[in-house]
Amino acid sequence: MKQRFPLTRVWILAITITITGCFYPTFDEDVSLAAGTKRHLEFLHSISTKIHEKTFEYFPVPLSNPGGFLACREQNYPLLYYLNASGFKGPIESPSPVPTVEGLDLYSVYVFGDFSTSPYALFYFPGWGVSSGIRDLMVFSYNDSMQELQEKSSQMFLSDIAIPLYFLTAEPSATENDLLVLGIQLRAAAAENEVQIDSLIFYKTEKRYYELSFRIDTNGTATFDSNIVLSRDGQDYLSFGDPVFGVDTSLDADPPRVRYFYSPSTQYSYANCLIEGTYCTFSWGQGTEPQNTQIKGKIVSVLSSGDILSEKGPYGYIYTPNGKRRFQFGLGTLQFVYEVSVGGTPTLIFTEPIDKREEEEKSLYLEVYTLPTMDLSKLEE
Amino acid sequence: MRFLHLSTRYLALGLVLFLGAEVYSQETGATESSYPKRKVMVFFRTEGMSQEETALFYDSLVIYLQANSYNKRIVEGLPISGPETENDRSSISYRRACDSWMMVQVQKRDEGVDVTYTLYDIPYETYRAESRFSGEIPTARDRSTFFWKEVRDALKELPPLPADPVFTLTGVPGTLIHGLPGGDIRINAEGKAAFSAPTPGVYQFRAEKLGYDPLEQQILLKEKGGDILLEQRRGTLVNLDLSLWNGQFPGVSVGLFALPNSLFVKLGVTSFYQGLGPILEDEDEHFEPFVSYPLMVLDLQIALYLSPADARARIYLGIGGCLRVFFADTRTMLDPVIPLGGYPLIGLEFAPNRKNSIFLEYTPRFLLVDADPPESMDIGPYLQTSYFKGEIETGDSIGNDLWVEMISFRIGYRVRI
Repeated sequence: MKQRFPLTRVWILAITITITGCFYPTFDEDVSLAAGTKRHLEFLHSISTKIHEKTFEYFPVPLSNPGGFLACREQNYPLLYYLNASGFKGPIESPSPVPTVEGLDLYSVYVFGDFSTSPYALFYFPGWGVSSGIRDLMVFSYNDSMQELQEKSSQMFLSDIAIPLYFLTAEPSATENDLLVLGIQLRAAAAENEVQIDSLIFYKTEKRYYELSFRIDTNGTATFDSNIVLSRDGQDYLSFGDPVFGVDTSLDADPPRVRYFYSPSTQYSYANCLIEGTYCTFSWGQGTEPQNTQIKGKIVSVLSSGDILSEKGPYGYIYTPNGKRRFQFGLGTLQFVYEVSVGGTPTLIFTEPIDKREEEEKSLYLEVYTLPTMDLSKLEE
Repeated sequence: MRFLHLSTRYLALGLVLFLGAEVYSQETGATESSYPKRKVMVFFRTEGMSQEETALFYDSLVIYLQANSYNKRIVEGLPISGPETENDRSSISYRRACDSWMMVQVQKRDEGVDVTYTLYDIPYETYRAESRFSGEIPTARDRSTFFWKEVRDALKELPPLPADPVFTLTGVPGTLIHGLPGGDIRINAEGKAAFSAPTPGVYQFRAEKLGYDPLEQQILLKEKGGDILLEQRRGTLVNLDLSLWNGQFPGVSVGLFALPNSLFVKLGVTSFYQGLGPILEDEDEHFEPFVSYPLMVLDLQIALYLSPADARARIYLGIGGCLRVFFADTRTMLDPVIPLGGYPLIGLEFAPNRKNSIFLEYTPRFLLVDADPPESMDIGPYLQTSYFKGEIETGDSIGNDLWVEMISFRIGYRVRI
């Protein structure tokens, strides 16, 4: 007798397998990590825009009224917008393409000035000046009353600031080609209309390392502030074994993958280096050789408290000044932007972009959260 | 006209005779299929009486009972006081061809007597009457006229024996039995039920009792009555499930039956640490055979089977709740975005045999959202962007506090323990 084929079961199996292959669970580790951390942060403002550039980074002005600089990138050409509640101004476009250097941010940015009437943003493009001879340090401003975004100044850090303000007198034989900027840190200056620029510069011929601190104001006028080495060690420069940071210092080398940080409160310096795809961090202080620390991942800031904030994967890590890990916290979709002084209080600024430009809303939402640096331990779970 | 008159008279006479016969039949309990008479052995005991008084009371009782109009034959107990146990009394009665027995006990007090009596139906293995009464010490006239009336009236509780032999089923009280002659019968509180059936014959019946596996049995009846023991097995107490949530993420759960075979509480865990990647990807996505999330979902369900335990396809309905545990590197916590949820549950189980089955459960989840979307954005678009990133969405939001995950099902293998 011919047996009946179990067609129903075949259908059930086929439908089940088909449905099986379609879906993701309602879960995203990054979103959950950010949600957990946001409970400890204070919401500052939210802004949305319809600009179409896919690569972007938001540098908010720390006010409850939405506003901030939006740096974008369109086929290697940097663009700058200013966003506020009524829309956006810009873009200011770079005349030249800026190459992406693996292991280095496209730019370091710091906001300063009078946040409510005329916020400023200082941009530094690491390695740009070396490779292209184009100005790598730019000041932009937004005038709230005029609703105008403009470039205030642009210059080369080495040739326009470091050489004339320091090396011309201290090391007259040093030329631009003989100097290598290993890293620059932007941080709050004493005056609200200035930004402090701490730099680590390598003098190739003499194999000397200089840690020089400058200030730059809203007009782009730079001032030499101090030789960090001198104030700490009583000498002008450091001499380390070569190469200390795994850096190729030859003339035709790529920009060095070094990120430099200095803590005025602890007088410790840090070089965060990307060597063969892995970050390692050297630190040194008064009269000490660089020591390899336990700090893993990419340092994003050395805070005014002396604590070190690094990122690795979807987590942020807080280390003590001597490189011992204090705790970690979830970042996920949150991005740490910078530590700025808000009403005299050092404050950490985080953003969370929610990109719905390819969906019905056609908007990019940018959320901003803050945390006073003194409350950093709230992030310890 | 005369013919019509005669016909009417005969018709009336016939009707009277018919009704009379019906009344007589109901009064006597006689039926066409009954044996001639039921035989009742009477045991008698006294307390506080002399032998002479005992003999007088017993004689009056037997004489009075023999005058019953219920078609019951009275047989004196041998010995009169009868044995102690119910089984021995039944045995003695059975040997004397009696199908029932009655125990009457009289206790004499100062100025009265207490009478206790029981009437036991041997084939049906059940008590038909059990009562007591008190009164003044009866005179000889009283004993011959009304004193034993209540005892005699109890005889009418003894039903006539059917023409076919009577069989007794022994099983779990409350069991309902289908398929035997005489319709559905239920096992009484003493665990007994009786039925009569022509013999010899082969009969098939099904015994159902909540909490027990249904029993289907075929029996050959060729005796003149007897006992049939139902070998009922308690239903499933524990289920073990191995499953894939949405056909992708493995889970294991244990179901404990509050009511065997029927009502269960299930505790389960689903791991998202290792799962099958979606087969159907966008064209620009590369296929990942395995995906991993630091998430574990704990489920608690309560559900009720609507189908018999031995059905090949069983449906069950219930409700459930889930906790979403997020294993962050920092610590283990409830998922800060969607910590918990609840869901209705409908399940379909295919069981080729009693032990093993495969199942499909649909559990559309109402998930509590504990996250704030940006101003001017609802939670729905926020979650859709965050979670699905252009993939097929599995649900939608209700207000800003609930996300309904419509695609939520589980396929798996179930073993009953």
